[in-house]
This record gives sequence, structure tokens and C-alpha cells, in this order.
Amino acid sequence: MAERLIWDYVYAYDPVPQQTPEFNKLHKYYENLHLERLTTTKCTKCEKISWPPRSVCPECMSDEMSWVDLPEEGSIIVVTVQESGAFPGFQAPLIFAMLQFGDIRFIGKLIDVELSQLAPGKKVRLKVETQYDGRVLPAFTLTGN
Amino acid sequence: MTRRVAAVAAGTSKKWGVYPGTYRDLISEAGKATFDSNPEIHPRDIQGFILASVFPERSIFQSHVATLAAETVGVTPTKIFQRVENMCGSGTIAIRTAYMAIASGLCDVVMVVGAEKMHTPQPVETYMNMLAGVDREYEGALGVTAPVQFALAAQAHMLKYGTTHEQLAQVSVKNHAHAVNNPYAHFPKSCTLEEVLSSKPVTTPFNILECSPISDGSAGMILMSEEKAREYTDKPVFILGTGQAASGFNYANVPSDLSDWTMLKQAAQDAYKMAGIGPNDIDVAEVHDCFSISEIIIMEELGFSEKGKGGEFVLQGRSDYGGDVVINPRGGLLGCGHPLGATGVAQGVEIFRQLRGEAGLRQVEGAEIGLGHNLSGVSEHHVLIYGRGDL
Repeated sequence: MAERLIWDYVYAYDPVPQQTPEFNKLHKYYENLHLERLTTTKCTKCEKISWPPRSVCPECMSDEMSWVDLPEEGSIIVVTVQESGAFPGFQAPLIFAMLQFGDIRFIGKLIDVELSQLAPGKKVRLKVETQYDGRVLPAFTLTGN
Repeated sequence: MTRRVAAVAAGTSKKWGVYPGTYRDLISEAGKATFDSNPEIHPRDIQGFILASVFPERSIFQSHVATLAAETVGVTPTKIFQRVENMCGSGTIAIRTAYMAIASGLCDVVMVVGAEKMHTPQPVETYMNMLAGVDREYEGALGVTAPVQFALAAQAHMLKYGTTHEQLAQVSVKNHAHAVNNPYAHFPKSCTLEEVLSSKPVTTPFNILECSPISDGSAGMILMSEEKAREYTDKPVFILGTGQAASGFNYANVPSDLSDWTMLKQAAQDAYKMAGIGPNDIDVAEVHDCFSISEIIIMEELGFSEKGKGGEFVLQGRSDYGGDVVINPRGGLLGCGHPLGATGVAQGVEIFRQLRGEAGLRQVEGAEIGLGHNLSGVSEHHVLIYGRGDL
């Protein structure tokens, strides 16, 4: 008899990535997030720092990578407040910003902030969000919060 | 030496929006409309078949769709058949692929179909499917969506160039007005600036009337080598030039700030150079106004407007009938809808009709050269330039 599919959990409808060594070569990224550290990969050969993290360096093709911490403080480049159209499981309003951390920039989610405090140039720091099942995702809040 | 390539037939499904039928039904409609547009062509004349379709695996649980679609429209491809998928730009890429197959001499006659059945019985399922189009691990997982990505581009443009929300909203006013004259448009209804600015907020600065809707729809086009094309029509529409460039799947790797779309500038320059023309030669353009800001930045990077002045350009009516260039006569993605894989093909259909003088109420008087632009993100762009066959 075929095994039953557990419809309560279907990976094709779960936006949160698999984070364990069994499924993800870059599991260290998530392990570091558990320790409140935002990290990415640095090539041990050519020293290129990439975002997102890589298992092979896109510059020199080395597969010997080390993990480096991003600066503790970053800043908002631009920000948007989403009031409708969020995916199932996400509560509006959602706040997203293009963030600058050293030489790296990426889209980050901001939490626990007053909307009136948001502006380009404001400083932010990591604030990890833990999911219902223990998996983690990066989020950010204004420094001083 | 490459060969010249021309479009000889083109059509779309009858009404975009929430489609009362299956994926196959939708493909059938595009096939019928395309063959009906040129009764000289029979499905057995088609040697190659390219399908643009983004996520049928998710929306109807079906892979292997190129052959499904070829069979559905009665085509037995003997030279080339494949599906192309690169999110929202897939349709233009499909036409480009057909162009390459013919220009290289691989075959003489290729049909392109773009089809997307996006609506599902449970609307939230469709929203989840859209998440598959962003970087799921590092952006989608956080809840980042296309509206958020383009809103950040809008914020950057407003900050750097002083673009106003009124200027953004005017894009929507213009394109919704154009859609009124398009029988297959999802929203054939005009709206005022005040209505756009007071419509439901989505993500700052966008309101709902500044965001393209989720639509079902399909479109088709048949392309031939010049020699073949002359056998089947007196009014071939030639592909004069094309360009494509990408950098920045994850927005961390967009090579500029989000207000300057350097990859589009590069793709456009390549297309203009290949066609031997410049932006001033374009009479009509179908461009990817997925959100209000998109059309403003696109006009700048295509060279219609000075960089940073796209907002003034639209407010002064320079992108409308009677202006410098008519942008999005069929209503754009905002008015017409955006069935991902079908959009780029339908843009081609519109330019085909415009250059043959067959666009009815939407006709741009005397249009000789047209441009189609699709994007798959702020930093992934696909450009095609078309010209009338009698020039």
C-alpha cells in the first residue's frame, strides 16, 4: 500500500527553506542565524564575499568557502510598507527595505518598528524570527529598539 | 549570414481575465485566433513550435507542455519544439527563440504560443504560486513579492529623481484609457488620477490600480523566413533587431541602484544597433508596465525620455496618442492583464496589428516601426524591434 501524503505539510507550498545538512549544503547560514549572527560565504582562494551565500565561488570556481559575519549595523536605502496582498501566513502590514550591510545590499524584512521612524539612512540590526517549527529567518529592526 | 524573419499571423484569446475553461481550451483559442488571422496558413505548414508558459506545474499540475500545446493547435513540429520559461518575460523570449531558429536556417516556419492559466479555485493558491517567481530561499521566504520589489524601485526613483506619486498614477490613467478600446482587455475601463490615488493601498507607493492583475490569457504568432513569408502574405512584419541582458536574480546583485535599469539600457542599445535605428524612429511601443513605476523607468532606459524625467514625460502626454511615441496602445499589463507567458507574445501581436494598420480604434496613424519590451525583474530585460515589410 502506498504511503499517505501528509497534506498538512507539503514542501511545494512551504516558502521557508530546508535548513538542515540533510537538505542544504549551506546549513551553516541558518545555524549562525540561530546564534543571532548574520553571515555569508567568503572564498578562501580569491577572497570574494558573495550574497546570497554560495557553495562554489562565482568568481574563481573554488569550492573552498569560509563563513564571515556581516557588520552588526546596516542602514536602510529605501523602504516600502505592504498593506495588502501578503501571502497566506503573513500578517500585514509587512515592511521591506533595501538594506546596506558593508559592501553587501539585499532586501530585508523589518519588524518591531514604528512606521513613522522609517526613513532612508536609518540604522538597523539583525533580529532573528523563529518559525513555528524552529526554523529561522533573518529580520531586522532599528538600532536602539 | 543570418536570414530576415517576419511575422505573418498573430492573435490572442478572446477575453483575458478569469477564464472559464482549461489550459488546453486557452491554448486552443490562441491557436484558432492565430490561424484565423491568415487563412493561407495550415497547421501542417508549421515546422517548429515554441511555447511560453511559466508555471503550469503549479497552476494545473502539468509539465511537458510544449508538446501538449503543439498537439492542441494541430501542429506536428519536425524541426524544433520546446517550452521557454523565464517568468514574466517568457513570451518575448519565445518570439526571440523562433527568430533565432529561422534566422539560423534551421527551419522556415515557426509558431509561438504564450499561455497562462493563473487562477485556481482557491485564490491564495495562486498567490503562493507567484512566490515561485522570486528568490524563494532568500527573498520569497521573507514574504517578498513582485509588488514589493518594484515598490522599492519606485522609492529609489522618487528619492533620486523627485518623481511624484501623481506622475506614477498618470501611467495607470493612460493605460486604463487605452484598454477601453481593446476587446480582450481584463479591465476595459478608464479611471481618473483621483481614482488611482485613492484606490486600495498595496505597498507604498503603489495602490491597487498601479499594479497589473493576475490574469488568464493566451496569444500566438507565426514567423517565417522572408522568402516563405512573401508566399503567405503581402504585409509581413519583420523583426529588425533584438537585445537581452540580465544581472540580479537576487536583488543583491542588481548592478546599480534600483532606479537605473542598466540591463535594459544595454538590451535596448543592442536592439537599436542591430536594427540600425534609434529611439526617435519608434512610432509605437508595447512595454512591460507591471507596475506604474516600470513604464517610467522603461521610457528612460529605452531613450524616449531623458533619464530621471520619465514622470514629466507621461504627465505631458508625450507617451500618448499625439505625443512623441504611443506607449501601450492595447492597455499595457495594467489595463489588459498579465497572464505571464502570454504577455510578451500579445505585445508582439499588437505591434503586428499596428504596423499592418489593423489595430482598429487603437491604431497609431502611419506606424512603421514598433518595439516590444518584456522584463522578468528590474534587472532582466528582453527587447524586440519590428518594422513594416514595405519599407
